Amino acid sequence: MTEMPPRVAQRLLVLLCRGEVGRDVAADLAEEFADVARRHGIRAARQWYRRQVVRSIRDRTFAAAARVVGVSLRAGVRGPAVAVRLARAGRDIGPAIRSLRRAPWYSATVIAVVALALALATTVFAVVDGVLFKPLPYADADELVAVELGFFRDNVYSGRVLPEDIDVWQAALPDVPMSSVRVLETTGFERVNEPDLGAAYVRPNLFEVLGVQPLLGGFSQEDLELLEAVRPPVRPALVTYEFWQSRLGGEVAVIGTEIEPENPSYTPIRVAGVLPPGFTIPAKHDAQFVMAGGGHARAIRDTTVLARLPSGVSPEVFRERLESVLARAAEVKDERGGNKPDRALVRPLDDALEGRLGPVFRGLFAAAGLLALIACLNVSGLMTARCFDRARDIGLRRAIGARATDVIRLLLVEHGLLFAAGAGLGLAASGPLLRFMVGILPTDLHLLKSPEIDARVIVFVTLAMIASLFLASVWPVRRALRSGLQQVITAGGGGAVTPRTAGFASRSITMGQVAGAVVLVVAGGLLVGSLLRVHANEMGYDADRVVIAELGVAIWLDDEALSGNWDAIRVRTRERLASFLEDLRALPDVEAAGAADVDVLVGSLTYSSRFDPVGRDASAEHGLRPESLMVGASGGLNIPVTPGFFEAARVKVIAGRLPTDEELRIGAPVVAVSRSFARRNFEGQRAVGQFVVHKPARPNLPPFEIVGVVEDQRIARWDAPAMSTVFTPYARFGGAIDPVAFVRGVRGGRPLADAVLRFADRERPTLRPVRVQTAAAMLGDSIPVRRLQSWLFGAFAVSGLVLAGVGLFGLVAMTMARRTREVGIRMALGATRDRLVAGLVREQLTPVLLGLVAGVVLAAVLVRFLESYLYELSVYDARVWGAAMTMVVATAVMGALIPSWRASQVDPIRALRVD
Amino acid sequence: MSSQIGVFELLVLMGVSSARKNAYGVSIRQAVEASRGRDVSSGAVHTTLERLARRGFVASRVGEATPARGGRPRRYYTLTRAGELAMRNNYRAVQHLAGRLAGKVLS
Repeated sequence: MTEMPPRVAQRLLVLLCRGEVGRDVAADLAEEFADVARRHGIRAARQWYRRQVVRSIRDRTFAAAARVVGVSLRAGVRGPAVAVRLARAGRDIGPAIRSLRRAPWYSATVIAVVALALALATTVFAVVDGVLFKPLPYADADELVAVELGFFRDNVYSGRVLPEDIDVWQAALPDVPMSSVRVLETTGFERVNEPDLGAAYVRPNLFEVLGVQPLLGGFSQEDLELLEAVRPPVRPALVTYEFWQSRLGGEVAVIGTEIEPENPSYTPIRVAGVLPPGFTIPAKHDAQFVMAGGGHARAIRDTTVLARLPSGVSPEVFRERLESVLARAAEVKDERGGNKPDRALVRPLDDALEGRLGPVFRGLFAAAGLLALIACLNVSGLMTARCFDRARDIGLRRAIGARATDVIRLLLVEHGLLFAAGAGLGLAASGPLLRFMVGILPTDLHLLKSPEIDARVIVFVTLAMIASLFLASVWPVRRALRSGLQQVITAGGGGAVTPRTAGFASRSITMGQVAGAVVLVVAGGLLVGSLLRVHANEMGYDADRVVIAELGVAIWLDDEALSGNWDAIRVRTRERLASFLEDLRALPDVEAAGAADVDVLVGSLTYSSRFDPVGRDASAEHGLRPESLMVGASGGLNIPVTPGFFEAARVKVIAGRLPTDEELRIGAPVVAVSRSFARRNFEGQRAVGQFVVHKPARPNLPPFEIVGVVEDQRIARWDAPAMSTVFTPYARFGGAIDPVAFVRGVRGGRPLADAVLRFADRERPTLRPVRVQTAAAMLGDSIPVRRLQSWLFGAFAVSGLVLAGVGLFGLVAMTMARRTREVGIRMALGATRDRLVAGLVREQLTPVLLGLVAGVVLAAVLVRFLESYLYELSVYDARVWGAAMTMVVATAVMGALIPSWRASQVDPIRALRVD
Repeated sequence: MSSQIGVFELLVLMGVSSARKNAYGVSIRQAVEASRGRDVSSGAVHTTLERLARRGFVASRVGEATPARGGRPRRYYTLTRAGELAMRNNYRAVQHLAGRLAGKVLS
């Protein structure tokens, strides 16, 4: 049977080498394949064929590219001087490619370093540009300002703005259009595990002030009147384009129709219109619905008041005019007796909306810049080292008449090709990287401008690439220009007379890389260290194999008579939850299930009431002995829990016992308190056996006996301070807020969460799941900003370390390659391998140590900006600094040691024969 | 028309010349490979031949088809008068340059 060439290679050839030449190549290779197979065997023939195909494709591609460049350059020769220079540069492309092909490791390292640095820089820039630099998506956005209003009392700022206040200011300042936005985060339209959709209550003139019009529809007069009603049966709203597309199918017919919320407690919405694509509300929180008018959001605290300044009015002038209006308005007594604002803070809208992530992103941008600088130094070092190797080649060119400009051009073309290849790869990698980064951004982060690889980012990458190309080329080019005929002769004479390193340039490059790496590793180490501290936090309960389910209860849907009758609602809620938990426990894989009335790991805290230790004054009233009571007591958070809760959450007991399921079921007057509560209130005494009372006091409610002390809980967030808590029977206090169920499974994880979700979904409409996730996932999600910082700065630290290591490795490896002959001579003269390696590594130690010192000084100044982001960690934490410096030194020593060791392994006789 | 050619083009012209009447892709590639002492891709040889043909240094004719070539005929190349001149001139230039450099380096 005739052997066939490898099919994949054959197809690739046909696909990529087209035309007459491509067919000739394919036929020639097929003919020669049979001949090679006959002479060397089928295996060798296949290898030979594959190699031929790859090289043929490469050569055809280069030739095609050179032809395109050549055609345009030939046209340019007759054009202006720039075109003539370009034409000359174009002619250097071929030799440059051939030269780079002869140094595959050098080329690959430079391309990889450039790609890594540019991929990270591009991704960070795409996000940072979206948050910090890109203009807001409104007409003439630079004219928009945000106004914060309030008053200062005892250096404390407080502010409240009512819709009618803005009417007064607007009437006094008619030339400055003003509007306001207030976002309510929860809308009732959120599906399970979906982030808040947000509803914005705006003044009807907002769109006029922003210079934006709805894409479809708009508010009618009737809509505006309806929105002013206290409890309208339906709320007219403009929905975002994205919501319209994803939830309403992008149908024009939905305009004017009503949509029902997921949470039946909320009012339905009538779609009054659709906002234009990409429109985002100018507020710190995102909103999918926009409603005009005050509506029920009259008590405005978190309101963004914005204004469009006419030309000639600076923010400062506007502030002064506004404050004089405020002063006049403050004289009029507030009908509610509240303080009227008398101070105004006017800032560009862009600055005001940056929010809590502004400084984080500035830090990230700085870190990306530092990383790019390390990469530049790295590449510069490699290029300088390579110029030594090419001294002979360059000297030869100079000897036969090449001018300095010719050499510079050749080197720049060579470096440009490497940078272009690196930038191409980096840009290709930045797409997936950006998707990953957007994925780890906090879900509640309101990005006013979408992060994407757009024309702005491409321009940035191109400019950054050109700048780094020139920066990285300065030293190598200077080095190369020193090459003359002397090098042609001396380079042939042996490496012993070649300078050991590139001298000052090489040492500076090593120093710079080490210093940059120290700054990145210390910053990354501090933030990752903080995250680890948070991870080590004692939660006070066991999150392993636990699923947490936030539930929404709307039991009055079954019974209209319940509506508004809160006591009856609470009783019915307790019964409904008890039956739900009982059914839940019957699920396979469920070990235990219980519920508590407190929001767990959602960032903020909602709770029902507080408990206080019984005060001395109240002791007689409760018939208790005064000596068992505390003075100056501090209260604890009341967490009503159902039977099964302690078993599911595995709350850790420190003293006494937990209330039993039976006590919890019947509502016995017993409680368990947390360690903080016990310490604060019963310092030096045994807390078990003491009594606490509910606050606010309710008639007929007895004091509750403390039967046990449990470990402190971290309730709102993983990094929240430990709370002072009191666990009470759900049968007495439960049903006031929506409960959270704790479900412990045999195995836990995502399957258990899915099973709980499916089960809870069947309980609609009187009970519905709001968020069902594993406790581990919720722990992570409760610290989104901290996690984001740690991941990103950690990644930068690792990249900085890798780049510094690779840079030093490359530099030393290339230096060693030049010094093979010298190494041979030393060994021939009796130097041992160990001493040789030690000597070679020692040569690199001075710049490494100097870099370390410079890095430590720089980092000591810069890390102070991180102070507010650290968790129970000092910016000068000795362990983090020690570990960071050890890592940098170890990486640098490894980078120098490996090539030195390899150099010492050569046979002295062979080394001496090196030309 | 300029008769300046690159080193690789010179080698290909020499390959065509040395293979005489049997100068087609495979034989030229093998000749160039032998003179360079390392692998040469068929793609590079054919691209160069195409360029040389465009510049009028080589002429081609279609020969016989064989089953080993998947039924595709061989394309035979011959040097034109201009090609022969270019080959000689460039070969002399290389010899001259090498001699001059050797003199400079050794002095």
